[in-house]
Amino acid sequence: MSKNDQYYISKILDGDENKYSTLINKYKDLIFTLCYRITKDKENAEEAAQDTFIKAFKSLASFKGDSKFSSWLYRIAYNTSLDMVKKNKRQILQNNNIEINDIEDMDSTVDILEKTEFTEQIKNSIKKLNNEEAFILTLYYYEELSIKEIAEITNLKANNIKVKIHRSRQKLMLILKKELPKEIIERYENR
Amino acid sequence: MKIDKRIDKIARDTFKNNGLEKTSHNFTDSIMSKLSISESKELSKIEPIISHKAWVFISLSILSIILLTTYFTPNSDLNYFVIFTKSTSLWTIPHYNLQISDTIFYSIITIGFLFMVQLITIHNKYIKA
Repeated sequence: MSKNDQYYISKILDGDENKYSTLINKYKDLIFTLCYRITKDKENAEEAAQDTFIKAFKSLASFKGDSKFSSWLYRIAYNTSLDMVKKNKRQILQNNNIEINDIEDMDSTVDILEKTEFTEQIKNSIKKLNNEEAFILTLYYYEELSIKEIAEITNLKANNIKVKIHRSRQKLMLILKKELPKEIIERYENR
Repeated sequence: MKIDKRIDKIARDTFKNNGLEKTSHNFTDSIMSKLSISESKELSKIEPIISHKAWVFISLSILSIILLTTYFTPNSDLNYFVIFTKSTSLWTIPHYNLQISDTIFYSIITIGFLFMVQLITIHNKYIKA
């Protein structure tokens, strides 16, 4: 646990509850993003993120510090968001119809993505990953958590996480390929 | 570089460069209010209706009246206060063999009344709020 987080947690537990706003401000965007990866809806993500911080505050006394405070928070966010999805019975895009083909076919797509920026297409592609895949890839690539840490947060086995990361990464590339403008892909394929 | 490594790098860049989604501007305040913790609100300072100085003045006035009543005789030249304090009927406190004038009696009642008004006002203004 970073010293800063521990300092604020001790202060809060000693009665200075206003210090909790510092922890909220530090983690709110990442927690909101993780909730958004699962709920796929900004309104629900905001609600889930708020619930996450409220649950964390109420359980702060039970936080033992065995893991990082951030990991503890991500675990609450993960469970809260999944509960919200179940509660709202929302149709989440699962992209189960995407088959992971031979990734050697991806050469031209990889070439394009290495050389050009497609911000909007990338955003759309991440949104089209299923909720768990998007959540895991965000922790792995953005937050740079280890497979073991992600396994603890999601309560899945490390090997399972490893496979999920590999498959999700390939799926992301296939989605990106679909999102890229056709003429650009054709230009690269005809080289 | 092998294709899998290239894809890994692109995926990393994709998530790193895409950044984070932003919460609404009142996100923190909303949580703090739900937790009944106000981030900016300072604890309300409860101030008495009758100030400390006013209480000292009232106390000294009453004490002066009691002293004048006790130590000045009715025949004294400075019997203005004595007349004021002893001109009316005396109240007898049972078991203590003490007699106090109407004026002192009503003064004590008035102070008690003011004290009660202050307590009730503070209660209504701060505690209920």
